[in-house]
Amino acid sequence: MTPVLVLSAVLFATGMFGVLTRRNAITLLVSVEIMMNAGNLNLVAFSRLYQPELMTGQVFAIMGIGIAASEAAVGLALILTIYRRYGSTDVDRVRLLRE
Amino acid sequence: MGDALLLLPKGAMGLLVLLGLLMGSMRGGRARRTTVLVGIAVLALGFGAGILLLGRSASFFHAALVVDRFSLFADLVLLALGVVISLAALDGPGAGRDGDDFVLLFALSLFGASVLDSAGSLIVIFLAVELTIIPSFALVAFRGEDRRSYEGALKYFILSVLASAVLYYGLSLIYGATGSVAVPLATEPETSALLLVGIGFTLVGFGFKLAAFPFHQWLPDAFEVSHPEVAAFLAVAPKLAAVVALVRILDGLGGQSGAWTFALALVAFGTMFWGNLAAFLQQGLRRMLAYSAIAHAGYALVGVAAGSARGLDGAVLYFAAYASAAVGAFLVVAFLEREGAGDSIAGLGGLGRRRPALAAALTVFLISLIGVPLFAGFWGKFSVFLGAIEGASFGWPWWGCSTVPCPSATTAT
Repeated sequence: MTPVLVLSAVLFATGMFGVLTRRNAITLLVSVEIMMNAGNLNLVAFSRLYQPELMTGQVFAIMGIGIAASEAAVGLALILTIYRRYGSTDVDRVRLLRE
Repeated sequence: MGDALLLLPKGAMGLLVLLGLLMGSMRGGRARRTTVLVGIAVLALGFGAGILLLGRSASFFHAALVVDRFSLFADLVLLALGVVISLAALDGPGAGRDGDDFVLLFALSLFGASVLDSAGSLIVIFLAVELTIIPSFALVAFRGEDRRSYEGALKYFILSVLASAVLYYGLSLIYGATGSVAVPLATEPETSALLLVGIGFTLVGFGFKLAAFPFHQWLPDAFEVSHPEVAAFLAVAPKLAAVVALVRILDGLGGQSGAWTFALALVAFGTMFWGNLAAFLQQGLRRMLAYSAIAHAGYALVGVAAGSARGLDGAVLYFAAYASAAVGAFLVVAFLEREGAGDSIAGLGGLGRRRPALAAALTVFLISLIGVPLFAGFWGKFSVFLGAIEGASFGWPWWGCSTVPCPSATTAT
């Protein structure tokens, strides 16, 4: 159990590092997807630990994957529009609002 | 069968989604307008049914959906919000060429909030949170003619998906610690580190959704660039539902939630303090209302952190009181904007002479937001703090911070 938890924590931290350091909107989205996958891994591993026959964790993970896909769909549409307007997907250059 | 009636308020919101889809296949403003009006009538019927059903409770789908007095009350607030905002959108964002998209996205988000307030399983909580916020990204970006609206929406989107990932990770850890996705959680008497960490991540995720203090940066930007109708909706519906879901998660924890309840109290304090302080410094009416929305979520969190039954009642009641005032204030902003007035608070000077009725309404809403006794906002604050004192783990300093944007009220008249 522990190795899986460590792996998922590493995945989560990798994603978080990406979110904090990258400035390209698409890379940010990819980093967030890595964080979601850390959750997926946890769910599937825990499901095996508790009640493999119920597959609760697997179902949760599949829902999570679907949600991640729909987030990406809306987000990429937004990023595409921004690219057309600003000619860049760098979140630092897309800046007109006050802090 | 009788129990199924309890789903009527949610069904009404679900029907609005279908009507929104139907609207897309219609040409001509008149047919579309009629569809929205039918939708509003359905919401009103749902509201009536909800009132008749108050006090009953039942659970559905193996307790994946739990309707109790909290969720029924929250549904009533959401239905009322749905009626008011759909009416306001009729001549605003819901009227244009893309009006059907607006109604559909709004209905989806509203429906998501209504599912979230009665979620009885971690899976449903996550799905409902996402159903509420994913359409709202598009809603925030809806004012396409203003290029800043995409920027606010991008900021909102990135922070929201980040929060979703953190929430998802937290929920997976909670599932790992308890071995079940049922809410209230099936906890063991002894404290487990895994559970505490999981609750921590979950609280951070919800903190983003509620725009609580360290995680609030997205909200003013999103509110400044979106239609005021959208801002009014986002200030109430997702937050109200998230508070109810948070209460449900923390409810089953008993003594184990101690450390996080304290953290929650600190967050609530920071949110109130920072929201009010920042609102005070704003030049723009919308940004001022946005920071005030942050502060008010803080007041509701006081009720959650109190942990007492009265505190939880207070938190839900608070949102109802806040909703009545904030939605009104945002709609006045929408009205002023349609007339071409600017966004600055200074620009409101002399409104009393030009538009006495509008100025009077805005004053009443702002006074209610401040929490002057006898107005709705006061009773909300009163019940929340009563709960906090009953919870008794934290003392009196709470009272110090109930000042909200006063300068606005004085310039308005």
